[in-house]
Amino acid sequence: MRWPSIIAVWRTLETTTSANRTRSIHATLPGCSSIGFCVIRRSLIVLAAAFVTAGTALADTIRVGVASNFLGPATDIASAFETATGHTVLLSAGSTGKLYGQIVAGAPYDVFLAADTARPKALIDKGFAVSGSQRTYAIGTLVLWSARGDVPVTLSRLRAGSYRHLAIAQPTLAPYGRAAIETLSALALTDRTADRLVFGESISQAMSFVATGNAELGFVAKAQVVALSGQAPGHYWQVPAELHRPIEQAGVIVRSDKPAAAEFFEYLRSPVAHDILTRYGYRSP
Amino acid sequence: MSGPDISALLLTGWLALVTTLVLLIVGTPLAWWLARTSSRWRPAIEAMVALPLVLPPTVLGFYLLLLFNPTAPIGAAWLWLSGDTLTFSFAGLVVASCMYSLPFMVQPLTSAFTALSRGPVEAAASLRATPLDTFFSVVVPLSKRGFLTAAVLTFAHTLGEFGVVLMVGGNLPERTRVVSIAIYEHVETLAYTEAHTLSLILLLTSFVVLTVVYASNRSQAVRVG
Amino acid sequence: MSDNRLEIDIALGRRQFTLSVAANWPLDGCTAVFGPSGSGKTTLLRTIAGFERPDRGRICYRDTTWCDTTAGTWVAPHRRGIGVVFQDAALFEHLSVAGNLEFASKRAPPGDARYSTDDVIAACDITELLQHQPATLSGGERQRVALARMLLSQPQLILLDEPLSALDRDRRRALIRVLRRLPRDFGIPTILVSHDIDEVVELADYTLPLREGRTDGFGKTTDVLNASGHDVGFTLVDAAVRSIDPDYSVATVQALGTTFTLPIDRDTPPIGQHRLRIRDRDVAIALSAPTALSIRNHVPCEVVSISPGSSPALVRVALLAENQGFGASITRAAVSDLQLQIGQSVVALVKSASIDG
Repeated sequence: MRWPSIIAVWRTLETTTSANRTRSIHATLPGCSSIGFCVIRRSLIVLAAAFVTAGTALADTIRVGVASNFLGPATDIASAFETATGHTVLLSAGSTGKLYGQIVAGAPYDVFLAADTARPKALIDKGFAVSGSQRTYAIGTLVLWSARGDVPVTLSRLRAGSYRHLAIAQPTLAPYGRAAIETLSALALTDRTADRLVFGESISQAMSFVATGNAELGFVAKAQVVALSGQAPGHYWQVPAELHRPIEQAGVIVRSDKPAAAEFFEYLRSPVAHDILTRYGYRSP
Repeated sequence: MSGPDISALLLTGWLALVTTLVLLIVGTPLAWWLARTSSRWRPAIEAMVALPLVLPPTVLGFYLLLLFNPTAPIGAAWLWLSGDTLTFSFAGLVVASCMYSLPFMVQPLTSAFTALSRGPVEAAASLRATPLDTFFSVVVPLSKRGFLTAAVLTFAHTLGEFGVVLMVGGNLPERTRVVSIAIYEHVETLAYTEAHTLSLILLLTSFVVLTVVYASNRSQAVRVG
Repeated sequence: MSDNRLEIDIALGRRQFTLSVAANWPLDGCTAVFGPSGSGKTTLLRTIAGFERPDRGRICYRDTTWCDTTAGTWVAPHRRGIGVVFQDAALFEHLSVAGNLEFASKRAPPGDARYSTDDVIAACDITELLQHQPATLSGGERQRVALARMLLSQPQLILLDEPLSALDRDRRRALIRVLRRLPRDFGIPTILVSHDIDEVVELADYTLPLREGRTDGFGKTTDVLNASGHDVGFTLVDAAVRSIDPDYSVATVQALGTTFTLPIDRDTPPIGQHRLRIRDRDVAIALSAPTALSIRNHVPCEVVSISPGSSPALVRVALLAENQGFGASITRAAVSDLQLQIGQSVVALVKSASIDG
């Protein structure tokens, strides 16, 4: 085992109270009920990570930190990439801010797919990512969503105010939250909605508020709603792109010593990836 | 410190206080029952009380989201009674905190009540004191230390609550934005100075409060021993 | 006082222990529940108090049913009007002695006081202790405080659970003096649980013997102890103190159809009904009334039986005078010298006897 990598993983986990789980979760929800519980869970993850990183020494395996909203398409793209190249891709989902903090703290990601452009830029500026590698890989689509199938979601319903809570992502933490605020402002609804807004720590949590019926409406990522289709009823209204600044999701290559990382990063521009992006409700840049 | 952070601090203190008071009222009879009963349901009830100690708060938060929403019976009943939803409201935070901190109230009380010999309780009954009278005039004063420990631990534990609040609170300033959420947000946005200030206040408060408990336990032990 | 009846018919099973008691007894003065440890006497007391629920059966006191498992009747302990003194006193440690007393008097039924707080404090001799905390009291002091506290709740039935067992000899004597006056001074029927025969003899008018959770008879303490086959080495007989001669420190006592002259050793007994404790070894037997003898108390009586005594050299001769049995412990040699026969009329010479409560 390579101790530096174990320590790096440990430090990664130290930077946040929640653990990242590869390919399995759509939202990371922080918080541990007790210190003991957390330590045990972390130790297990460190152990598991130690085995995994022992394998990376043999190359052909890359680790990708991906903003949770993009986990769905990233999973499909990764498996297409694996089939095409024989490499292995390990995805870790988290919020952009959290992944950023982890990379700064030395987390062993090879590629970082953020939900905004600011954090990839900051990584490059601070020397934590390969300079010149930043590129917008997808443009997110904002939708106004209701989990109920019986009432259509329309702009007039938002204007009429026939709802108690409107869920959005915390604008300081998530680009979709920022876009939602901009949209409300463009529609001149800022004041009308001020006391109905509830904030999710991430876009995923905003979505769970709506999905569980606690908020009647929410601004969420179209990708998430698309991923849900077939599982739950619901309606959405797609927010016209001109109502907010584009939700550009940029990525960077974190480590230059892995050819497979650059290969994967390039693969995001391929026609296969483009189809997957579109299917999930993103636009290609 | 900024205005929102101060109000987060005040809100947190108020939440911890209300939670402690509610749990004193709810937890005391439960602890008394657990200490006295020979019911075969006791282990199951004890386990339920202890669940928040071992479950991640996300589990509780998840179920509360399902229970609290206005289309579920509990959420609907509350909405009908109070005109407000349980999620995204202070009342909802109190309910969530009460569940989350329940073992911190019930367990110290149960052990205090268990340690109490039956002598004084029966003596009080033989002196014509009703069970309620006995409880307040004999059991409570003799279990003073247990009550102090339980109240302080509950208070301190609620101060630090995070996961459940995050899931059901909606991060509304002056309603549900407690200190731990504010710290989380500061850390996420790399505002480390603000995060440090709040963290330090929380840390020192918890330290002082816990020191009070341990000091009182110690002085008691010395006096008896 | 015969309406103070306690009717008990209960069965109750606990781990490795069954109590099954049926009794209907008049509570007059002090009644002892007497038996070895493990015989279930404390459980019986706790059941009467209402701290234990019988599996089935009923308990009635006077005209009130406290418990009837068939009818589903249950009166909670705090409504039974009982006063309990526990083995370990069970004082409220968070209150001063005065606070403990006030706890009781505050909850006593209003307008029902047969005696004042001062009476009780004086009787229990705790005036000096009022400002103390229970933790600072000795065992005897704790029991006296517990006794006073119990009395101040104005109970209609007193239950004493081995109140003397934790005490040394001197404190025992002091507390016995207090307890002995209870029924008389305060007029409250008392049930005493004890495994100590001396305690029973000194305090109880009636005795309910208990053995392995079952009763074997109820009656006057004298009769029960005499009949129980307990080789206790003494007999209790009913007696009446007629007069006191302070010059010679002697009392004139009527018992066994004879007038006894007995020395007064400690307390001067009041004129009236008492019990005489006559030890077998203080009784000698003569075939006819002797003259010129220092033993002044001569009792004409009849030999009822002759049985082996407490050592190979001794026999116990059971005697009967005025329908009251008692015994003499004499040597086997003496029996054959005197040629004692069952049914024979003899004179018992009682060297000494002590006057009990």
